[in-house]
Amino acid sequence: MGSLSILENISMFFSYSMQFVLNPINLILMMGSMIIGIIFGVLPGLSATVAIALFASITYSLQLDSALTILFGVYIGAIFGGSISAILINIPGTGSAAATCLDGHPLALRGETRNANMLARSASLIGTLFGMIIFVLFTPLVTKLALMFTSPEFFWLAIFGILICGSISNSDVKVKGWISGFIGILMALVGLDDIQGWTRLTFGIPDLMSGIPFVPMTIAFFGLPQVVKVMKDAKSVDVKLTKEEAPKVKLFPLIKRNFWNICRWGGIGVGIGAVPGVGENIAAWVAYDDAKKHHPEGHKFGTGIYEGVMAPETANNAAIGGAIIPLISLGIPGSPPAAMMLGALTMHGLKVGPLLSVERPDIIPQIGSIILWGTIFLYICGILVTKPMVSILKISQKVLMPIITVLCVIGTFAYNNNPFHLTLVFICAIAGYFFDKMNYSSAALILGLILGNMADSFFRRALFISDGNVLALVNRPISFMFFLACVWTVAKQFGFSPKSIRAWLKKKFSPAHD
Amino acid sequence: MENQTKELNTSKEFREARERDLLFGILLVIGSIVLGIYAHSISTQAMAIMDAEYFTAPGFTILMIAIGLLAMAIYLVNNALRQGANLKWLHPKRLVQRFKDGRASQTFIVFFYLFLYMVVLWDNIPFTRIRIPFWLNTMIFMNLIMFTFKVTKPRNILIISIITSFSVHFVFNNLIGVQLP
Repeated sequence: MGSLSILENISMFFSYSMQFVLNPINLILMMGSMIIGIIFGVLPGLSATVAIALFASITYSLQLDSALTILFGVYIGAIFGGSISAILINIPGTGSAAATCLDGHPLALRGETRNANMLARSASLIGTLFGMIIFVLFTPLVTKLALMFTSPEFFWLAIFGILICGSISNSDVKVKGWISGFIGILMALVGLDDIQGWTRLTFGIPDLMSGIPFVPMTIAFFGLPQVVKVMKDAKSVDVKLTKEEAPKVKLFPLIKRNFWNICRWGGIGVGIGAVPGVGENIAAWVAYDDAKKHHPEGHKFGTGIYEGVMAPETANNAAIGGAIIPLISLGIPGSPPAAMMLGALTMHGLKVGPLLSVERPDIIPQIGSIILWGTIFLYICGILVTKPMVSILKISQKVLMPIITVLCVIGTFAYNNNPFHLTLVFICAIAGYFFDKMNYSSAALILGLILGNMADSFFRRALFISDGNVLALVNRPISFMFFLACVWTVAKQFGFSPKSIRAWLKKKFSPAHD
Repeated sequence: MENQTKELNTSKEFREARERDLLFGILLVIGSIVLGIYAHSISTQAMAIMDAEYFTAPGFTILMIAIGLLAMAIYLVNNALRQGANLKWLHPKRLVQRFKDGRASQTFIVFFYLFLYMVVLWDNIPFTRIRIPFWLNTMIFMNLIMFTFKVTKPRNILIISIITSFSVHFVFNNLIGVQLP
């Protein structure tokens, strides 16, 4: 059995889409998970990552297609849900909706809440569809490329993923993101090593022999620290709706006018989503910035411009498709929620990576069709639940957090019914809380945890094959390219660029200097 | 006036962040040296027992990470020191003062309740034969945390904790099949 061609993928995609809609259970699961996802997205403090981390364990006992439906429903719903609270109360429900606040809330203040919500909903729909199309079309190509990779390429790819995620994460000191990523790799090395079966970093604890599972770790680093933070800091949210005064915006002329802009924002979303570990948050900001630059009234951004809502919402939803391209083709998640998705797929026995589409040729069209229906349900649920969300936003977060804690604990325990993982998660939650407080990136740490084993085994395998010749790591064109990308990422973080090096050389060797 | 207060707060936060960086950096320097020694020792042990080169031995990657972490820790410490950080805040008196400020004690309380819920009261109470069912453990945790932080009226707290405990137990234990204690 081999991987499918693009045409086969497309035809299978349509057939799966038909099968999906003909099964009422799928529709119920999608509807339910979409609403839950939107609730997770709406509530500040919860995020798509937390939602998927919880549901990854909970859906363990379900069939793969049902689990995928729930997980993608929650993912898409949560990314969209963030925009509702961003527009209504100027607090982004998720990090990816932070840019939506800038123009979404001013629109709500001037009596255009309905318009702002409709624009966010429509842009999310277009963005998700855009990402899905790119995912279905391009994943087979990336997979084909990835099948040519050998150990050095995979090693450098894993290192590049960790480095880029570490350097883009919002830290006050340059190296903090990388420290997180390296600690993540170290955690991944706990347990029996893949090549020689040697026990590493277990400190004599038998439960650590099988390694540190990363689904419970996401709960430890994303879920529980958030609970502690909210219990400590949360203030009641004042939700006041302004009276609808403005006429309904004409959507289609607006989309037609911005057609190329939308394509560009979608492209930004997919492109940034595909960069390992970066994800929806940055995609939204970059698209917002792009919209501001290209808009004739760019200086008015921040006062309630429609494109200011459309750009980030298109990009953050398009990033969903982008983030799962490297996930399915290379086994490297493009964003923290995609990392959770990797955990969920692994729990269901799928070996994510280039060989997945050889072993399971239907996986790309299947995921594509789930995203397609997820997009349609996003629009329907978006219309149905936006108003009731106001009541949910009025519930104190301090009431919700103990319930979330219970779900986090069950999610951890359900992973493989091992109470040791609860102790481990508790310890890591303390570390996660202080990590967050000290501005270290939990996303980079989780990415390190995911890619650590891959980096280690491919690194040592490459050296093993070449009898310890370090040059074997860079003597193929693709591996050399990845190596250069890693060097460039490190150099750029410290302010080095060809321009700065030229300027330094010029200064150093100019006659005036002598 | 408001701006001045804001600036003072920002500079206080900045100073505290660098002080924490300094402490973490020093711990990381020590940790990475210990890690490096450990990595070297498992590599040499593996080489003595099995057919392994130093480059392919199980400790080599750990050694590389230890070196990377050491370099970054030194950068972190250097950066913190250059920005005027010190470790005077670790004096017991100052630590007690910080804890008394309130917010640190709240963090401690939440983690303490989590410890009770996830470690002490999960299934068997350590060193005893007393078994606590999941629903009771959940109810105790929810009541403790919600009463401590006064999240809503006492009557509502009781209702929320009872409904959550039983519904979560029913859904996960009976419907999804998670073997809860």
